[in-house]
Amino acid sequence: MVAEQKPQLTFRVKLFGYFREIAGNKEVTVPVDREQTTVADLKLTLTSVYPNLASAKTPYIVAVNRKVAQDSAPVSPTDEIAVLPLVSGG
Amino acid sequence: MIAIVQEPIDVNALLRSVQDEAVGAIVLFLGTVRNNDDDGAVSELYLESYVEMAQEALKKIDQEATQRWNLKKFAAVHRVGNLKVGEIIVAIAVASGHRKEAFEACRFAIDKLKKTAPIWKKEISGSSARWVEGVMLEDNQDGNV
Repeated sequence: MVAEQKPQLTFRVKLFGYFREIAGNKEVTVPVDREQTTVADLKLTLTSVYPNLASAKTPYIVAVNRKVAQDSAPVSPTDEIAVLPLVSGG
Repeated sequence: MIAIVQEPIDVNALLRSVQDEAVGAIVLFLGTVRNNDDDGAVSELYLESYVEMAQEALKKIDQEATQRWNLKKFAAVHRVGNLKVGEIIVAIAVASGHRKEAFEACRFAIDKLKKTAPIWKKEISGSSARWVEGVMLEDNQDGNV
């Protein structure tokens, strides 16, 4: 039954600095089977799909629509999502 | 003037952008590439930014500083890409009626930029390179003005 199948949705995640370098890409895709998830769940999926991001063991925050997002914040595939390691501008 | 740029920063253009007949003091801050860090020599820096978010962070700093110190003009430009020793990484120009406000606001602006602008710096020294250990990005949505 097509109607009962959960579509596999793709979250696009921008990477910067050290994370961009170790992933070898400015943007990665994260498959999630729900239309909405939380930042915490997205982090878990991201690090399971890209284990070298997890092994980097460097702190980071997630920005959703260019704003710092807490782990409990909801995210959907239409959001602009970015993983930001420790910043060192200026 | 608020910008993240690839090309060298034109400091004169930045200063012209904050000149005004009501201005009695302009403070200019320039951050430049140092030839050393704690671990030794540095020959070059590579800087990258989440440009759209960094521009928004700079705009918020502008709004907050302008309101708090009653500034006449504010300008901030941050460079990205490969920079050699001595080149300008960031330039902030703050213009106010009197010097006290300009000094304080300029100090505030560079300190805030370092915490709220998503920009990353990689130090290159000959054949080795390392990302600079920075600080966790702080949110500046509720800039207390």
